[in-house]
Amino acid sequence: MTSISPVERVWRYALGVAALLAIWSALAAYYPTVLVPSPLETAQALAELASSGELFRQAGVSLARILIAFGISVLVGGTAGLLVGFRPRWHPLIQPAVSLAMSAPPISWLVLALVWFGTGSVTPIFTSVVVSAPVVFANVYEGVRALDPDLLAMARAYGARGRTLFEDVYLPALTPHLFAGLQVAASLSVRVGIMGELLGSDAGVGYALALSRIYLETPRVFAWVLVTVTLLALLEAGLVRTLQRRAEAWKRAR
Amino acid sequence: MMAPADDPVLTMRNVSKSFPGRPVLKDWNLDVGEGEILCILGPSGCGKTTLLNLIAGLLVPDAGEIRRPARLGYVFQEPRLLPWRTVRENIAFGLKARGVREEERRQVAGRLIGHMGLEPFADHYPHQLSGGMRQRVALARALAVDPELLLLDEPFKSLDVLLRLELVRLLVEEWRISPRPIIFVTHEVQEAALVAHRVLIMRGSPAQVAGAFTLARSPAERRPEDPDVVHFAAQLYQELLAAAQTRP
Repeated sequence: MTSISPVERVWRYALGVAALLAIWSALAAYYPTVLVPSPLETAQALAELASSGELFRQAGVSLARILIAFGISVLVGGTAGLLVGFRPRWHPLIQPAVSLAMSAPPISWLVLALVWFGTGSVTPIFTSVVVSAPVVFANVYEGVRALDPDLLAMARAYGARGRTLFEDVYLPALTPHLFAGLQVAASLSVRVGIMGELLGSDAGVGYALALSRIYLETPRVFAWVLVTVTLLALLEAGLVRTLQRRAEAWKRAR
Repeated sequence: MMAPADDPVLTMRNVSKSFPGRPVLKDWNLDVGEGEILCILGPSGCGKTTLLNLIAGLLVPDAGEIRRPARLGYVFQEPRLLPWRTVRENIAFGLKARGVREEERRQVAGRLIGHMGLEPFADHYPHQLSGGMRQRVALARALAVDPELLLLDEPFKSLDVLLRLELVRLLVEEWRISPRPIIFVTHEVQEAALVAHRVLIMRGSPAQVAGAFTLARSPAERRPEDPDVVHFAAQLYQELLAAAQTRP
C-alpha cells in the first residue's frame, strides 16, 4: 500500500468536497428549490437559523440527548463487556439479548419506545442506547477475551490487584477494542438519536428536520442535515478520536 | 550457604501437579536456603516452568504444601513488559502493585536504571528497545521489589552469547550486593556452572531429580575459564546427556 503525504491528503480531501459541491450545484440548477436547494440557499437557511438562535437551541437539545445516550451506552455496554468477558459462562445467557438488540432494525425499537414513553427526551435516548450499547458490549467482550494471558500472569505474579491491575494492564490492553466500539457507538448514537427525534420528540434537530419537511422548507431540511453531520463530526472526531489519540500516544514514540 | 539452610526461604513438601492426561510433578520436595543460587537443568517440557509457576503461586498444586516468601521477583522467558508503559514505569510496576508510593517507586526505579545501564532508555517504551534491553528491564522489574526469592525462567534464552554473558554477569553482580536466593531455570550448562551453588537435573514425567550437584565457591568469584567452573560444566553436561538417554 503506497502512502500519501499529509499535505497531499488534505488537498485531495478538498478536491473531494469540491466535487460533491459541484454535483450538488448542478442538480440544484436543474431541479426547483423545493426539491434540491443550491448550496447558497442552504447556507442562507443555515445563517437564518443561526441568527434567530433556533440552530443552537435545537442542536443543543440534540447534543445533550446524544451525549447522554452515548454515555449510558458506554457505561452499560462497557461494564457488561467487562463482567461477561471475565465470566465466559455468562456469555450464552446474555448473547440472545445482545443479538436481539443489534439485529432488530432501530426503527422497530423507536416504535416500541413511542408506545412506552410517548414523545419527549426518553424516546430518542432509549432507542440510541438499545442500538449502541450492544456494540460497545461486543467490542469490550472481545477485548477481554483477547487479553494476553502471559501479561496477566506477570501481573498476578507481582501481586497486581484492583486499581493498578485495571489502570496499568486491563484498560490499556482493551483500548483498541474499546475505541473500535466507541467509534461505531458514537455514529449510531447520533443517527439513531436524530431519527428518534424526527418521529418521537417535540424538540431537537430531528424534530426541526421533520417540521421543515412538513412546511416544504427544503433549504432548511438541507441545513438541518448539515447540522446533523456536524454533530456526528463533533462526537466522533472531536471526542472519540481525540481520546483515542491521547490513549495511544505511546504507540507513536519513535 | 550452598546446602539447604536450617530455615529455608522456600519449602515444597510432597507437591503434586498434573495437567489433563499428564502428571508433571509427583510428591516433589524442594528446599531453597538463604542466599542460595539453585539452577534447574533439564530437557524442554520436563516441567521446569510448571515448577516455577507453582512456586510463584500462578498455579495451585493438586496436593502438597508450598511455603514461599511474600515478595517474589519473576523473570519470564519473554520480557512480558507492559507495552504502554515506559521503561521506568515497567520497572516500578511490581512496587506499584504492592502499593508503594510514587516518590519511592521513582527512586528505586532510578537506581536500577543506573545499575542496568538503562539511563538512555528510561523514558522509552518497550517497542523502542532491543530484545536484550527488554530482558534487562524485566530483570530490573524483578529486582525492584527487593524480592526474597528471585525466579528466572530461561530469561536469556533468545539472546546471543555475548548478551547472555553480560546479563549473567549483571545478575551475579546484583546477587553479590544483595545475596538473595535465586532459582534459575536454564538449559545452558555453562550458565549453570557459572552461577549455581546447586544444580538439579530434572527429567521424566512426572519429573524426577536425576541428579544434584554442587559447587561451593562463590559465584561472584567465578570466571568462565576457571578450572573448577570448566570441570563443573563438563560434569553437568555429561549428567544431562546421561539423563536424556536413560529412560525413566
